[in-house]
Amino acid sequence: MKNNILTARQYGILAFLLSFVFKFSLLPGLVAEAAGRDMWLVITAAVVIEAGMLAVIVRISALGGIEAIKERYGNVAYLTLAVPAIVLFTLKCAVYMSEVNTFTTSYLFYNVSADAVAVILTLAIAFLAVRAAKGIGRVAEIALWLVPVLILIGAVFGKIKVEPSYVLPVAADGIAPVASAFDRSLFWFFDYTPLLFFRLKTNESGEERKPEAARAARGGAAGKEGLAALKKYAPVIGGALGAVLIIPALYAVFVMTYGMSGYLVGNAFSSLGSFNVVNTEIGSIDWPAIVLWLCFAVIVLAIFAFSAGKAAQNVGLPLPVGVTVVAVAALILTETLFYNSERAVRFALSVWRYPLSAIAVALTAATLVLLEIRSKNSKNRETLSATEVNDETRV
Amino acid sequence: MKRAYKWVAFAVCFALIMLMGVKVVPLQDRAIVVGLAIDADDEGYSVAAQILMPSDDDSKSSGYIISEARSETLSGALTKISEQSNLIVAMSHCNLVILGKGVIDRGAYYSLDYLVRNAYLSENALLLAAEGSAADILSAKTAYSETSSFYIQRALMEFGYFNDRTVRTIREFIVSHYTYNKANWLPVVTKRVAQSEENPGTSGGGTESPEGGGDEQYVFDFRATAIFRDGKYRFTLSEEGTAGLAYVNSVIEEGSVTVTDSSSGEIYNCYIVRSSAKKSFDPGSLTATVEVKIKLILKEVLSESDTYAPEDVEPSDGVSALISEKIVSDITEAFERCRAEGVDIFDIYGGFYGKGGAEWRDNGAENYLGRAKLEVKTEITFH
Repeated sequence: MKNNILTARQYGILAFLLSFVFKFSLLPGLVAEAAGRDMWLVITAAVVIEAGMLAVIVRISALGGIEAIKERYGNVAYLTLAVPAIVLFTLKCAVYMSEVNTFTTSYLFYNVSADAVAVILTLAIAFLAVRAAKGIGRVAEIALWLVPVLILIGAVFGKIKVEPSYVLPVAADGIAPVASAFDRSLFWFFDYTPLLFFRLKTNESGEERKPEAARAARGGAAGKEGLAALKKYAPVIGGALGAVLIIPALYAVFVMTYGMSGYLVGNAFSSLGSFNVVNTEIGSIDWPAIVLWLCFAVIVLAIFAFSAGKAAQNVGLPLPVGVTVVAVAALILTETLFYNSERAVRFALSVWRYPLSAIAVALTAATLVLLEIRSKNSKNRETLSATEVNDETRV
Repeated sequence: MKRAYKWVAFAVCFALIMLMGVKVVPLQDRAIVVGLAIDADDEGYSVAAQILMPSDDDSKSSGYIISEARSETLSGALTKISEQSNLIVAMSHCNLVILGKGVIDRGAYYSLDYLVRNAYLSENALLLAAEGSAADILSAKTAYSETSSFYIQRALMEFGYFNDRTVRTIREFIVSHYTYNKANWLPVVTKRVAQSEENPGTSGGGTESPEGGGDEQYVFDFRATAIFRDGKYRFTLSEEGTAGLAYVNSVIEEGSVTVTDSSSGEIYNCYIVRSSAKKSFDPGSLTATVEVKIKLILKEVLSESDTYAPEDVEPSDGVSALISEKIVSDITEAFERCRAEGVDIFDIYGGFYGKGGAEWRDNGAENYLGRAKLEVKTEITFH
């Protein structure tokens, strides 16, 4: 069932959100603790690697997506990839959910128990995930409009108070603290992996729909093809580029705002989103940032839940069942092991970060390699059979 | 069918909210704190909270009460306030925290843990030091506003860009604490009697006496600055030093400079349109340069020799030189006075390190504060 198809624009937005959202809650404080003023270097390295990974995932989508593994290699090969992916997505969902719970009960509703927040959040996530790619993509498109609203509020009411000199000197103690902070933060990186379970629908031009031979016969069209591909993937490139440029820039602003005290900041997005303003009558203006971050967080968690559900759906489990199982598992983990964000962070910083990151990277790499091999084989077979047909005709 | 399952999901969420103990706290059950005064002695903390009390009449004005409690910790004291008022203390509208002398002597940073951890207290809330008791300031009846905390907030938020005061938020205080030298400062708030019951009708900036009795109304002054290092109070910077600090660390958009020409006896008063400063550093020669760009309007000239219409007077280079001298003197006063106490008030370490990197830090940073030179340049233009 094709319930995982996203338009290029939706794909670009989801890519941006996956990279952005959970890099702006607890992570800035944790990176600041290890890398200090060089924290923006850590995140730059991470988002650049992630952008490379996204390019690979887009290529996988063009090759038929991860479900093509099942068609070309069978269920065993597919399950070898899908099961670790489901574990990864469930654990990420649980840790991130714990962050959202703590954030909600700390910043929004102090008189609401974390249990209630977790249950309601799970329902919202599961509901959105069951609506599959179409629902998630549309909600992301709608929620994105809150960004200009937030920028407008900042421009009208905000007071820019930054000290650019806090960023300097760059890497004074060499690359070791940056590498150490990168290593420490591994859990929050490589979050594009769920996109393996989505397919990118691009609007191919009439020229692209023509057979490859016919296009090649025209000759000299390489430049045009490149341009067409660029146009086709523009929203995705935009999303990835947005993440590569905006996330390190905001980390730099974070350093300029908080200096070496950044590790004390609980949620970076709501802190930066208060725009250094308090109003005598209405208090601070961090509400738009809080609401925006919360919307984005629900979308990202729904992406994880959907991807895990979709991984199971490809081997016959109905999507609502898969999504519900994953969401409930994440809820149980959130209510037990990761009861508060401190526990979740302890887990994310533990040695578990290595196998989980390895799953994310290996899953993407293995899928690409497997699909490329069978793709080349099938092309060779096609070429071979075409030659045989020609020979027979001559005879 | 699809719609049905949407409604079921919504109904389940709603039912869960109702069932899982979400307690709705009506407004009248909340103690909306608009200002906090923290004092300390050997026995612990005394916290006074200025709490808004909605009035029942149609006067549209809301009164307030000051609720005080003592405890070993700040959060303990606030819990006691909650207990004694039977209200839930709400800090989200608290934009002002005043630290009393006891807290400052104990170590201002030491006492701030609760304020930093409290997610409901804005990190952009103003932080001030009091010369004596913080509760005295918070409970003072002000001449121009019903609540002292709103009066102080207006003075420092809406009129915080004057050159005679510095403004600090909790965030700024914490950030400065994490600079290399841990140099820090807070504006000192003092109160003066503006109008007394015995002498009514003199408000509006009229007669102000340093002391008074009875049911006086007060105005507040912020012309001094408490200087800290490593969280501990060191000394109080004078009015001149405070202005020097403001010239370097703030963008000034109002205020005035008054200078006297000693040879002619003429007094010039200039209105500050805008003043901003740029710092640059040369780690090799350990020279920090502050360049102040200031735009002024000549407002008044007091001269015995003649009477001038201010708008007819083209400010001479001599006036500019006098103003420049005054600004340089104020900045130097702040720097030197702090240097004498080992306080790097302009964070010149950060500047030298930013430019010189690890090489400077490892080889040139020794006794940097004692060896550093401060150059102050001014660029004065008249509007």
